Amino acid sequence: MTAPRLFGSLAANGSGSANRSDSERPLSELSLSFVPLAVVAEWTRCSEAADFVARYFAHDFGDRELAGNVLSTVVNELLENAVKFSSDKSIPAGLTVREYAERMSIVSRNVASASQAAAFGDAVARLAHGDPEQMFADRIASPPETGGAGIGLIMLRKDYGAKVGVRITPSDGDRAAIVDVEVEIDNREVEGEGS
Amino acid sequence: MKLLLRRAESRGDILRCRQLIAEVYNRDYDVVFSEDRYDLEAKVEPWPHRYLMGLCAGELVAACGLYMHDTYVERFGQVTDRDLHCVLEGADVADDYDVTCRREFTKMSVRHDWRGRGIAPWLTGAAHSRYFTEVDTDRAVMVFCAKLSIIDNIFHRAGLRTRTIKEFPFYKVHELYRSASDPMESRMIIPKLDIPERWYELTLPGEYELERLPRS
Repeated sequence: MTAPRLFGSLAANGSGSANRSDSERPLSELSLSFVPLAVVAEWTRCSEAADFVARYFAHDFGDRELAGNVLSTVVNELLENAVKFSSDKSIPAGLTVREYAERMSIVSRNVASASQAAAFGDAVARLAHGDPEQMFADRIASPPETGGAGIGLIMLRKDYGAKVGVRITPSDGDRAAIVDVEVEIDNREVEGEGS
Repeated sequence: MKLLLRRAESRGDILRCRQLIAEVYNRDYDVVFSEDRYDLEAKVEPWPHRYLMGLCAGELVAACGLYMHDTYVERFGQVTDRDLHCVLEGADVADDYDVTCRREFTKMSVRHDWRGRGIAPWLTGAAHSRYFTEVDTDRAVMVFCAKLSIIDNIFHRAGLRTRTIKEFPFYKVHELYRSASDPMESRMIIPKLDIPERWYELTLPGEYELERLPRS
């Protein structure tokens, strides 16, 4: 089996960036599995699921409303991406949120076509290291073609200083790929105390 | 090929229809759906109120929908009661119909792996059966919107006569559907004048041998 490919600034395995200890256990964790087609059939499920997940974790923050809004924005972005880039919308996708002392890790998983996955990985590699303000301005000036990825993740970097990583694991004889997208956000950003 | 046609009645049947339509529309047009929070600029479409199922050996291979009120052409196509009345007047049947009652055929979807067998025009014709639309209960008119190539290749191929109401405005939700050379129009179908008897009186539910309809 071909080895996974990593893009961006995180390992996208839910254990945080590569320079952290894998032994760090989350203080809290929530996972859910969903069929993308059910979300396509009722798009409000995306924001409703994001709000539910956000409220679950917001209890641990001083300003619950603000934390809920920030987390809902991040989760919603990953849910939408997972649905949008699922090549077979009947194959379940997943979302795992882990809370650590200093950060939140949100990981989505979906199955994409090999070409979709490669394009997505390249897009994340670019947006993970570029200047988010400049990339945002560029995207507004010249939006990508329909189906292009990125503006939402750029906004997460721009607004919350989020780190973004993608792990792409070939599957089905290299015709498809399992795409794990991880966004990590500092808890100070969740509490509105970011720089 | 025999096709069993029946209206989706149970919650499960309605979900099956919605998932088939959602799969086709999302794959072909990058569209998603919502029961009550639709937004054509965000590519979120509203669901129809009624569905017709096309089943082959128990498998749902095609589905279409019907707006029973709050039609797409009035909500988004700027079609007014006056517009509809003018079309009826032009056909000299204004007294026979109530323009405040309208049904709209919509969201015709054939599974990708069942395409090329002539299902779409056949199911489109069948969906104009009075047993599905119930236009005879309240003197309703039929309306729809589509791009011109679909009107020719599907509606007219089914033998349905269509009457232009007005051009359909541009929305982002249709960016992968219509084009400058293939624009969309809102059209009316006057039940007693424009629907061939074979469709208008087609009994539903029913199982029918699907025949390929010749191109017009």
